[in-house]
Amino acid sequence: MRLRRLLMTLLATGLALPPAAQANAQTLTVIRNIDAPNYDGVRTSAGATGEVLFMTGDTLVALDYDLRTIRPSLAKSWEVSADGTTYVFHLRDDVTFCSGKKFTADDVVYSFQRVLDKATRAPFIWRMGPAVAVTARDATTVEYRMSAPFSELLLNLTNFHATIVNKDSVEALGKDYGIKGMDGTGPYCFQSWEPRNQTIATRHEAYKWGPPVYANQGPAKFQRAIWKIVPEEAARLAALASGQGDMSYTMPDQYLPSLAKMPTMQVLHPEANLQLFYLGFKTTRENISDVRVRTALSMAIDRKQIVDAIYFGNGIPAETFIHPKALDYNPDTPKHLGRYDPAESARLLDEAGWTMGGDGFRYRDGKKLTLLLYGFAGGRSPKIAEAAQGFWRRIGVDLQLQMWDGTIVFSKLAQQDYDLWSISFPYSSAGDALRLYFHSTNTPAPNRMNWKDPATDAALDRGVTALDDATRFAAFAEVQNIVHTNALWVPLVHQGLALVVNKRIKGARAHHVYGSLIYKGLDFAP
Amino acid sequence: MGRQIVHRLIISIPALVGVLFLCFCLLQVVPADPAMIIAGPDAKQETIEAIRLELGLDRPIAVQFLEYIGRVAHGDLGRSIISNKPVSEELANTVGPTVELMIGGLLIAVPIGIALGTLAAVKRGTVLDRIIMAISVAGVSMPIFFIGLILIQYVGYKWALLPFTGRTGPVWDGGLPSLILPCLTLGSVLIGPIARLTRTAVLEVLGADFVRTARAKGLRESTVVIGHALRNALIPVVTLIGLQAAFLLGGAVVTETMFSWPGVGRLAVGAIISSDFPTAQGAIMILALAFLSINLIVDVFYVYLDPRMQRG
Repeated sequence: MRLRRLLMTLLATGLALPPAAQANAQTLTVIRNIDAPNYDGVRTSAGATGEVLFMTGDTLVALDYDLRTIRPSLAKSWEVSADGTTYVFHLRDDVTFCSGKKFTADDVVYSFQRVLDKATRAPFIWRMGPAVAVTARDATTVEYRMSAPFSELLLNLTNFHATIVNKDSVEALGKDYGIKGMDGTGPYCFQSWEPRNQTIATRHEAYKWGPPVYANQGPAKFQRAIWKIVPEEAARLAALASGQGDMSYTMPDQYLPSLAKMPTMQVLHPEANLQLFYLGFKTTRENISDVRVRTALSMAIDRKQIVDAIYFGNGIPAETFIHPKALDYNPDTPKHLGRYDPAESARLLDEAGWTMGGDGFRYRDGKKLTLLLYGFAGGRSPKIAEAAQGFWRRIGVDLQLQMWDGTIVFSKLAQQDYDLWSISFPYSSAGDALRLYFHSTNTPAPNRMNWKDPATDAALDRGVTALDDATRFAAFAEVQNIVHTNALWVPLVHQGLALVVNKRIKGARAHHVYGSLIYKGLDFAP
Repeated sequence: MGRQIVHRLIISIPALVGVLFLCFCLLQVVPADPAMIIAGPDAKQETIEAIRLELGLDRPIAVQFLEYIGRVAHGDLGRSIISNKPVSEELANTVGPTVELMIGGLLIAVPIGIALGTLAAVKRGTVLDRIIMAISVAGVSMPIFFIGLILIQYVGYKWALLPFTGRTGPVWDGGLPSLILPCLTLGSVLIGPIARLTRTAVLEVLGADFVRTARAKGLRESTVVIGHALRNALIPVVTLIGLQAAFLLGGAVVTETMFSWPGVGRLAVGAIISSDFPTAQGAIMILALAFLSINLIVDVFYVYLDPRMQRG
């Protein structure tokens, strides 16, 4: 009690929490676990960069809450040529950057050429398709020409790498663009960045061109937005519970049930969890080159137990690589990989010649069925790998685990000396995930399966260059059939995403544009 | 005194170069590839190779190190390979918060530790002595993150008295409230060792002839204890504070992470995790410099407290 009295005295003398440190009613405070490397969307693929750029900048087109419908944004309309290689965007003429400069087609040309310039080394350059020229027909018309059709161009142009920048600001700041400043057209204007502490943006008062995704087209309802970095999990929980932060989507799974019960908090989920945790097979390795073995391994895992025990319910057991609500998901995809059937697993292994030995392990030609898995040493990855080890031990498979620190895991995954790896990845559509991971031109990475199949390549190419939705769907549906039939991955969990919001924030709804659950937050209100 | 400082400064230079060389080698032997980290998990091999070439990571380690030392000698610490931000700027922004944290921690720990230790010595064998020593043992035994969590849970969350999510600004510009909990956390682990050593040292001095003489002269007990005994007992305590201040640099890393404090410790850890070699080297250099500086200050204090320790 004395300690409490002492602290109350401190409060009375003005040393304690000042009004500015409390969650200010006009400030939206987002708590997150890691900081962005920088705020230049062409130089990084980091989600932490994207979540700020979505609010401080705009793209030509926007993505609706269903994660598949394209809406106008800086482009009020667009046309596609009959051969699918040329897109003409008609821009709004009432848009200004935070600096006050008027937005024109030249800014779009400059922004896109910056992404396409090889010297920029933009990690998301492949999302721009086979672009050959971006030109301004006049101040409000942009022509985007490609050497071949790219059916998912619009979807990809909703990503933060396609944020429109002010050429003057980029050239004035040089290497410091996205570090010391930036100039966007978004609902908030970048004000300051203290790395590993906080990023502050203030309301763009002139903003009135928000996408029709939102009821409020602008200006934003908060005077400013702050992204605070709180790496410690318990401190993030306390910060939300005490009102020192308004929202977060980096809360550990184990806290979500408690947060959902708190009268001051709400836990929101996006329409779909487009983030899969899977185990991948290196199909060129001897012990897993047989599709029957790969199928047996996938069917030996009870995903519900993993979701309940490791995800605390924040996920969905995955039957397929693609989430059923994703664009171009094929509902007829074979779902046997997600079925928990240890008896069938045992039968398939017997059929493949791996018979159970006296020691409880399977052997073929005197060789034990031993597999080596590489994975991340942090997060859920080790626990999931251990669960797989336990399930596979029951069917006589000896799974050995080597979990690597985040600094070296990708160096290790680039090697060819392991059988499986565990990883999670976000995607925006079936085509987005499939063409990146299963095309033979992407071996050895990100196609770490070493999967080289002409039929897969042909279907992927057809899907990417399709001129209509039906053709694109048919092509990607075929790929889904091929990769599931060949059991190239063990689909485990469609990972849950949760936006934890203080109930003082009105109008909150979870988006999921490339992992950002806030997107532009235009309807969020004090 | 001046000669002693110059001598210490000169012998610090090879120590600093040695630290940098060791760190450089350690960062190189770790099988991390910054080019792969920059390129991202889904990058193709040719992209990774191009980045490696551009960063000069394909050259021999010795060449890379000599070039690095040459640049450092000219005050150029390079740019972060992750953020592209100048390392010197990153360090300039993070040194202040860490120094704030350390000074705050010491300002809490040193007076409280010395006062408790002296009180325990004067009240030797009493209940008060035992209580103080129990608190000291608890302070030594409890890990720093546990103390931090308790303070966040009660002072920050339940009683909502102080902020705990980052630095709201410099002390002179409204930042004091956000500094209190991190400093209490960092300082609390030092109170125990300082109190225990102060108690032992004061007890030893209280039995000395000059203390008996002071008492015989009729001086007040408080004057005897504070003016005579404590000053002479402080030499080992200053040594301990010096050593512990260096230890604070390690504790600061944990404290900075818990309280989202944007200091050098978090910068170093983040740089190592992301294989950002220039930033990691810069942060380690600053930490090494801080360690050497603290030792120098301790040596100067020795001379102040006991002039016999001055170099001939």
